[in-house]
Amino acid sequence: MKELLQGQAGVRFGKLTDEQCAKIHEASCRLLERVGVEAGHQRAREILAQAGAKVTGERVRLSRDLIDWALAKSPSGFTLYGRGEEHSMPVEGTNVFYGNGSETPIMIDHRSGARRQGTLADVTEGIKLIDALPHIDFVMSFALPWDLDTGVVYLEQFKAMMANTTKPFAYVAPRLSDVEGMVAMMEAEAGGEEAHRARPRGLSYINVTHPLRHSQEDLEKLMFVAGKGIPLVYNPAVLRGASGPMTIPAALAVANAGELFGLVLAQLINEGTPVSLSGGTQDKLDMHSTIDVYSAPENRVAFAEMANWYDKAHWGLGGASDSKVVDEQAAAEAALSLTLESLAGSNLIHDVGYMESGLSNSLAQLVVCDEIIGWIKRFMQPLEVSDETLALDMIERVAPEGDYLLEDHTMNHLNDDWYPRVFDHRTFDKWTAAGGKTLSERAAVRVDELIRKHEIEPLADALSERLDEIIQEFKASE
Amino acid sequence: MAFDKLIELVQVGDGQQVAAEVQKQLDAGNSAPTILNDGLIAAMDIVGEKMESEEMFIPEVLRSAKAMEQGLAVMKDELALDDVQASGKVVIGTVKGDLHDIGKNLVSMLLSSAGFEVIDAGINVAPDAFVAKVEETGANFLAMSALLTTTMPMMKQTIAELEQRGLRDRVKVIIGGAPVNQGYADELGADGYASDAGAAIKLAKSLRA
Repeated sequence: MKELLQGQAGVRFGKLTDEQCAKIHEASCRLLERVGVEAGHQRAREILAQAGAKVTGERVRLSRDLIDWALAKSPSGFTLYGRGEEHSMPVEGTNVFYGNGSETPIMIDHRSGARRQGTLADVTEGIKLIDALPHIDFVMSFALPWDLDTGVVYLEQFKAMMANTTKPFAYVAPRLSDVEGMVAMMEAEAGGEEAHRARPRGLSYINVTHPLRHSQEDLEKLMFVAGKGIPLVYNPAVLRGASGPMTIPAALAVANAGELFGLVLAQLINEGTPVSLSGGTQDKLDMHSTIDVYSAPENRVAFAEMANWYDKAHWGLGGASDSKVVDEQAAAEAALSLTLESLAGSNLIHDVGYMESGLSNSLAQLVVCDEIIGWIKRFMQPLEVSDETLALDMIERVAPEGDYLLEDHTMNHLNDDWYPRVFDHRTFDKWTAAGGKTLSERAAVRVDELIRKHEIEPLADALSERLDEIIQEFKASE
Repeated sequence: MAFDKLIELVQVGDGQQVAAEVQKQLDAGNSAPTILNDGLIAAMDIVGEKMESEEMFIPEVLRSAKAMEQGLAVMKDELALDDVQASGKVVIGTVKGDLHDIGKNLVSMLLSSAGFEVIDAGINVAPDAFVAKVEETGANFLAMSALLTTTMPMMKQTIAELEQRGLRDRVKVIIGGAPVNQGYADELGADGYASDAGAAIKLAKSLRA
């Protein structure tokens, strides 16, 4: 099969008009002017005050001028780089890339089906699989390793990521020191701070607890990463009806306000810092179960449209299901959300393979999602209408009596089409003969096949030792 | 039934009208404890059932609870404290290092509506602060929440602190939060775990009994 080009342009689906986007932007600006953000970091408040923000106690209110200035300063895109020359990701325009999700407390064992805590061995295996999957473009930490009993679990896990994939990262940790450690490790790989800034390996994903109440930890992580001038996304989560308003436009305005606040601070720290917009994770709170629903139809697309309207990169979410097992619900929710986010032109779609509201991760589900993404990437390819693709000369020669089976034109284009790896297009008899396995069963088999066959060039000894030293340095300063 | 209208108004969650109806019932000669038991509490029992069967959304349940409180306020002079004494006193909070409050707030509100007295210790609550609150208020429940796996160990430390101060036997410790599970509760020696807000109320009630 011909290698599908990553992130093909072509289709753009949206629900908001430019006028509606402008209205939401205006609403966010008004909220930042009148309500402001409770900012729990003194230096952040000082920097903002110096730039003209109105600071009263911990409350910081921003002027429109400052917001406009920051939007003008931040670039519309950036590029993430893999280990070596492979896997560069230009995060811009209509390019769409896909990544798995991070640090789930639970994983679903594809061999036994058991729902259990992960170990470092599981993480290593998971990262290796993700490296092997053709349509997962960037890598997050998969599951939490519960067998590591050290203070620097996040760094130990990050080393496993660096050793087992050559793809770019999106990295996330609750504590600043862990983020510092991860950046130090990537700088060691790149050959220094400057070299890493020129070719950043990953995007720093900063989760913000509340849209208009930013904690010291949220802000210090933002300031550290912005200080380095490397790509980041600052993501204030809104649970509609609880930490934010119930209606989607209002939730958009509130989350966007929180995010613009981060954008302003990032540009004040370091003009030109690449910031991907996410519009916050505007999630549905199920008002019966009080579960944060990842797969809700209300969650999707509008944020990507806002980022497109701002002409900024977008950090999206797709391929996450709320199902507890790899079943029909899991496949349907993954397919719907991946399709919509892709059509909306979200640049970095993460949490692919998530289950159970982000609590568990499943390698089998990731394989199913990889298949779905292959389908979507093929669909997203623009249709070229040319002499070659219209093939009128051939049709006139063959039609109406003949068939096309032996034509050169057919031969030349056989590889254009998408063929599945785990979806089944065979006859019933052949499917039965092969064991009559369901999609989730076939996906579990493919997980093992890929893990067994896939090889990754190990880290150079010197780098591996240096990474261990960095981990020890951070451990010593605990 | 004399209290049909009151029961209906609590379910609808109209606090002002609940207060007016309670006043009307008092004026009609009904005793405060009767209005409380056969009106307000009966209404909240129905609300509880409807929450369980998903006929009502959680915010509607919370609004009903608020309406009930408004009705209760009208009778505060008539009701001796003993009549409405909370059947459980809960210190609740999110553990140290964790700033998430939505789940904790939901459980707090639902516990109050179920007749518990709730002392909200807030977010980012250190083990000694939790224990000090338990000591100071004489609470018989301690409810802890954590959303981050990195902060879950604080639950263990808080329980250790309770033991050290000789307060462990006095309180039932219940825990919750997305990454927490029954296995973890068992490992810590907590008295209970609940997977969502509704289950937390059931758990607290069962431990109170």
